[in-house]
Amino acid sequence: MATHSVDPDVRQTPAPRRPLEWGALLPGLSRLVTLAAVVALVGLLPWLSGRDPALSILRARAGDQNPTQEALDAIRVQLGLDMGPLEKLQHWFAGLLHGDAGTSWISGTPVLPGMLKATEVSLALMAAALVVSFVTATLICLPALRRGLAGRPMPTSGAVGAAITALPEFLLAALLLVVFAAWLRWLPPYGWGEWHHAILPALSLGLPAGGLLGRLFSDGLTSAFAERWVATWHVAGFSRRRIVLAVLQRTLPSLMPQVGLVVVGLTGGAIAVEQVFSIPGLGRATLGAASAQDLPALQTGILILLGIAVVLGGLANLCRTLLLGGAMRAGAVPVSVPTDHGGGHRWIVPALAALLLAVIVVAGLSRDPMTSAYLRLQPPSLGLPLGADGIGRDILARVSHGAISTMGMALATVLVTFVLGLAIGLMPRLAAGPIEITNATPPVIAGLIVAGLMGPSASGAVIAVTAVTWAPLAAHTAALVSETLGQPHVRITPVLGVGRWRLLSRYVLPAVAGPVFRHAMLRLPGTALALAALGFLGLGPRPPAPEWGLLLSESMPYLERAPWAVLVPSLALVLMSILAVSLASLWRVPSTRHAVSPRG
Amino acid sequence: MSDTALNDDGSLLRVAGLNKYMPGSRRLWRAREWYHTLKDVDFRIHCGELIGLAGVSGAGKSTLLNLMLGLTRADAGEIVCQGRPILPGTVRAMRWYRRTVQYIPQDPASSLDPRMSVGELIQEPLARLRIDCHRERRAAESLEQVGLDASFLRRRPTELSGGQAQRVAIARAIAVRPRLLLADEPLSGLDLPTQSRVTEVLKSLHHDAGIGLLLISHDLSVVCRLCQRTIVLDDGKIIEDRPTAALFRSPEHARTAALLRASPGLPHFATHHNDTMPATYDKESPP
Repeated sequence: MATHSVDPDVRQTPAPRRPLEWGALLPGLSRLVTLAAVVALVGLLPWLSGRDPALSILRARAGDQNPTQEALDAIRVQLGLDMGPLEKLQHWFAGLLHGDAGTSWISGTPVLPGMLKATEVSLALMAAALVVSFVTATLICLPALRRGLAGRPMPTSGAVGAAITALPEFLLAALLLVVFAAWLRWLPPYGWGEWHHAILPALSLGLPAGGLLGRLFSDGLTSAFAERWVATWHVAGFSRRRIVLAVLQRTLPSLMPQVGLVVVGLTGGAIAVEQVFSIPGLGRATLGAASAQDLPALQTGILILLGIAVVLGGLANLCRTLLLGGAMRAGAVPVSVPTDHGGGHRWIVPALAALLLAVIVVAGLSRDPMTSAYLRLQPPSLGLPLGADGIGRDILARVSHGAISTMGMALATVLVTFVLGLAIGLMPRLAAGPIEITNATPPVIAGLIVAGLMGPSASGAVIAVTAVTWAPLAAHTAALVSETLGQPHVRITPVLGVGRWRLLSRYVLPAVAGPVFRHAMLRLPGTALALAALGFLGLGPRPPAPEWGLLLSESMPYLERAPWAVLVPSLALVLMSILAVSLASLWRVPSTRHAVSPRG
Repeated sequence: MSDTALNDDGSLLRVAGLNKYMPGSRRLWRAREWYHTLKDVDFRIHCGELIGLAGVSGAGKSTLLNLMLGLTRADAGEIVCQGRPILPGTVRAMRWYRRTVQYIPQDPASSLDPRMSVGELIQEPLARLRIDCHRERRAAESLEQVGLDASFLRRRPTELSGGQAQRVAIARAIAVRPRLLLADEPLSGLDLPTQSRVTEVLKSLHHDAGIGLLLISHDLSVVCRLCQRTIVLDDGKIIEDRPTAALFRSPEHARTAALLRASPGLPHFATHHNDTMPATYDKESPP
């Protein structure tokens, strides 16, 4: 801008009065309404659950006392269960404002101090896990960086990233526990307080998160390196460091919401990890409160988790605005050229994974998954290729039949969340609140709430996972939409007479659907594992259903004596995730409806 | 659209008393600053005129363009076409105006959707603006008008050179048979032979189809080659609005002279400018 355009008298010219822009208020309004709704939901949890804990509390406090009506009523009055919903909500909320989150139904002590202490522990664990995931993600991104700097930005097949992403926290935690604490005795198996206590939990939490971040970043880096300005900078003699920094600045903004989500996801993963390593963190405390039906503690745990997530999400948004702001306002966000995935070998990885899975499914489909026809923990043999489980059932048959139910459930969940996420992400301003709150709810917490409302079941697990996994896709969609709307070829559309519907269907959706679908597919193993984790924690399908999560949890006690019983279902999950991720990367090849030969 | 529809003063487009404030960056602890980017801008465009709009970066050219495209709303003043004010509105409400006034963007490569073929790109405004014609034929005709053959219809923007992409953008704009084109730096970023080819295309559109042109550029040599009349915008004000030849021969304003001196490829007739600035240039109104 020329210097004469900013002389002082011009600056201070008051602008004319403008009509209030209601659209600009929508995100804030949406956040407020959602936040109020969630706080109300959490506050009403005891009333909504419809449970009367008086009897169980009486039993817990005085096992042999007769449950007389007077004793039960006294407990109800003491817990405030005699209040109506609104009165109770008011009472609870007024208490919160004074720093009183209620007293535990189990111990009778105030809930808040213990929960805050647990929060400190969880935050420390999450910070350590973040360091691990940052290192992991960087290692995964290095090939993309190297190829990009060499001028050959090529998407990776992603097998390593997919495999790491696919490892469930609880399985990783258990494996690390057995190998490093039980067999090698290098590190302590339980406890918290010294730095070496944090190593195994941080690895179990940080590796999957790092795998996911690494995949997303290496994708983003590859497409940023394929943009035209990079070649310009190369030719102009910019240093490699400058180019890498610029590419990072280009890549980071659209992934910042993902970083926020992964950080929040750590909270959910921490529940299983804290459980395995007996770490006195927030997740474990909340899980314990839920299974003990200690609703005041559960309410407080959920509220703190939401608080952490809202802060983290806000920070991620702030970073994104700071990184992208200038280019966005000027409408100068560069267009990423759809990259073609060269090479015939790109079929090999998914084909191999599909083949192996198909072999397992076909081989076991005719076998009986339910009957205990073999010895307990019978080792693999010719007649029993994958051995028998803890009660003598054929593992091959169970994994094969489990494949159909787990993959079917996960695929259905992912497709529903893809559609939900796209639809909701297209109205980012209205959906800002629900997205942030839902993101803040790890599937395990959602599973606890759903199980609390309708009891543990397969459909409950699917509902819980669907309810919270659309949000990352919606957030991704929203970020991509606002980026797409900043691109010159979209900004020109009003002049061409393109209306809102057309803009959406022909310009925004095609630009957004591909990456979001790939992201959804990236989440397929995560979804299957979220379902499996719910099964593992007893919140999903009931035994004897041959479901992969349940299979894992049933075999966990025999991890040392019969490792095959654990390895087979986990290998199946890893295979499926490799298949999903590599297939999704094939799908991204731009559609060429007209057969044109590029000029080269 | 009636061919005889003009404003009551006989102009195709009238810009009157236009003022626009643009928001500066917002600081957390201070009220937002507002910049007065357009100050009482007045001019008229008649049918088939070739007009240059020149000015340094930040002079308000893009702000004016956005207002003329009906994308933003002026804080004071109005733009009138066919007797109707131009304000941001629904696609349906703006359709008549989009058919009359079209736009050639600055950076053709990024203003063409990489997912569409050239044919689809050119047919897009025809379909969206409900132009009654055989769309494929019209697209081929438009391509021909800019010197590209029908084989380009099936190509994609990524397979076009810079000059080809700019001509496709022009073909897209003229396919709806507008009466005025607003061209935002249409030659920037093109090599010299391509520049002169695109210049020829714009000239021939004027000669053969009678399409008017408002060419926005910071480079006066481009304006000099094409335009009969030149408007110079400086700090949000029009400082000159005269026939190009006269303006180039004796610029009345120091900033015009500076612009002329800064333009390469111009003869040196601008350099003996009288450096004493007219004291009343602020109140000067366009002819």
